[in-house]
Amino acid sequence: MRPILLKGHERSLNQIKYNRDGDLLFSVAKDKVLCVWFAANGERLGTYQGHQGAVWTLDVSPNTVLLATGSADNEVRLWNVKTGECVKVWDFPTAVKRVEFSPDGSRLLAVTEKRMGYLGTIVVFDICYGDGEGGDLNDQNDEPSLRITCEESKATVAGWGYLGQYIIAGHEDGSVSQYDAKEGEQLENVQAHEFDYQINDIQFSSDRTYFITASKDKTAKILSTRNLAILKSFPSDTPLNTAALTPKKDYVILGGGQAAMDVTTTSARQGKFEARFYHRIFEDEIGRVKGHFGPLNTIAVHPAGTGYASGGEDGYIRVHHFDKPYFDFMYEVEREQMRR
Amino acid sequence: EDKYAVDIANTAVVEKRKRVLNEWLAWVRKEKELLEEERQALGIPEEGGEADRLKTAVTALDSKADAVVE
Repeated sequence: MRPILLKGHERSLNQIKYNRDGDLLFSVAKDKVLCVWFAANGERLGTYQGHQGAVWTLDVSPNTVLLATGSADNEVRLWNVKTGECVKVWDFPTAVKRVEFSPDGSRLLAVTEKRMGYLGTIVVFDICYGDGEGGDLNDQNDEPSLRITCEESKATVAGWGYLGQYIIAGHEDGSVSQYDAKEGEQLENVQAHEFDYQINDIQFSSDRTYFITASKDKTAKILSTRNLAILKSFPSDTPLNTAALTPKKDYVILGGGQAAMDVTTTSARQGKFEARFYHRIFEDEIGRVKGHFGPLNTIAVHPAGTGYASGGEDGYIRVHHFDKPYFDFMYEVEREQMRR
Repeated sequence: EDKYAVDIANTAVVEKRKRVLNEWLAWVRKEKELLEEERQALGIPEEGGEADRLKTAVTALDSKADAVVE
């Protein structure tokens, strides 16, 4: 499994994402630039320029027509994927830490940062796709169709539950909440992670009936979208920045590592920069992949489950295509189950 | 005697794994059913066959078994 190294960012990666077809890989970093790459060979297709601050987050619409980004310059931008042209800018009073399209692409959520005088919010915009041929994409709503204010603890990440019915958010205090995606009312809240250990990532299964959270408390957890029941727990020895679910195989991939500013000696950082593979059902660690020279900030799995990519504080993206042993690996009880 | 103890321990591990696997598969199956019910109730079209093809072989076999029963 020799990785392809993508060198296009000068600073720490914040988020990477495949489009639904899995042929493109998008990346954003602290260097304000948004890059798009061919996922198969790592060739850079282009960059989208315009943000004036670190870009924290991105998402691609399910039809790969629009791209959304959220940045430290307090903007959410919409881009025409094909032309690289910015078609819409929404301004906020604070930075935007997370954006995600609903499963059908008709809505976009954005998580805004809390700052003096402003509470953290989750806003939702209805998204239009113009004439269907790439024209009129700049025809978008100026105002959000929904605004959720996080009175208790600010949201750090958020995503859509199955059928776009729920918005699920991970909070700074380690709790997870479920909101009604129409009315914005909070339906559930559970302290999924240790109190006051921030949730850094949330990623959903392909049918969105469950999701995985990664927290600073060094664990990742799988929760049910329907009732936020904690189904699985994956303990590690380092603060986690990201967690991903692999289609095809029942694994999870975790990434993390102490940030340079949080440690006094380099030895404390050694060996903590590996992508860790766990079995999703049995919760055992089954392997690690080395490579990055700093914490892993973001992991994305190819939608067909054929590989994954990781983005690090070292400014590199490493794209891996899985080998045969990855697909062949199975617990004896799984084999037995298959035979039945 | 040591070997006997090891065997007992191994059996315990295998039994636990079997239980965990069955619980998970049952949960996934139930969620799928509920999801399908809600999808139909809301009149939302199926999200392409693509997502379904990505499911693990284990669940694929299960859903086939279900289809036969129906």
